[in-house]
Amino acid sequence: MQEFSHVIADPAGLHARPVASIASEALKWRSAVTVTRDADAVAASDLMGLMGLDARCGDTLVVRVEGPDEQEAAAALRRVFTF
Amino acid sequence: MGLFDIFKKKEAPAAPSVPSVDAAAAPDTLCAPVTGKAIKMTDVPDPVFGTEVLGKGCAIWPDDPTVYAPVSGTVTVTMGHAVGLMSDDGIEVLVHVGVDTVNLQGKGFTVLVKKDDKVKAGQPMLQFDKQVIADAGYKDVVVLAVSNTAEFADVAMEVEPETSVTAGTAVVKVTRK
Repeated sequence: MQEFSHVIADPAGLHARPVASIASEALKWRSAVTVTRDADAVAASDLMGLMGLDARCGDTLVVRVEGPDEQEAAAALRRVFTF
Repeated sequence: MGLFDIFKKKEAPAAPSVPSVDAAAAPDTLCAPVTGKAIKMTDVPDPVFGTEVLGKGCAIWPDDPTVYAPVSGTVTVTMGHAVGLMSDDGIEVLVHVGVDTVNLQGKGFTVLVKKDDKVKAGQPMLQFDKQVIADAGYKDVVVLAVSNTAEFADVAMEVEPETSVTAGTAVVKVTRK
């Protein structure tokens, strides 16, 4: 399993645009990707689930990638966590 | 004045300040969340919505400032400029007002519902100030997107693009697999 964390710098938090980037990247890979904020975990492909995390500026998201292409998938996903 | 009027008054619920509209609620149907000109999702002037990454559906250039629930269901997300719903029949619907309006951080928006509220199709969910959005240089197009489009065989616009629709009109049809 690959794991990385990201602290949200965007004053708007985890809104529609970054959610779309995360989900569309996650869908490109065979590995299962989850995004966790505190105790809440959702699949990275779950658009409404990601928005429902209600993650704000300063919150930490933990991304877990598990599967046959987890190394490459994690590297690609890191590149969309720019918000 | 009757003897019991005082009690009646006490029991009467507060009148809703924004009335509901009649919605053409039906299974697997999304109603127009606002009155205005319906357009195809692919004509939304934004790369994220326009490429349908956030789901298929349609969008409406609004004539009115009130956004109504497109389906009956439960509020899952409220973000000032957007409301997410889970319909009673499992359709996830995002109603998003404007492009880049997230940057207004709620300014110019009044949200009338909160997370976990049960709503009925046609019930008012939020109001926005067209002028505030315009002054900030943003477009106020209202997007109606089925977030879990992948779970369905098809999500299709039911009205002719570029035609006027009234809030509550059936505009999007979901076909199950």
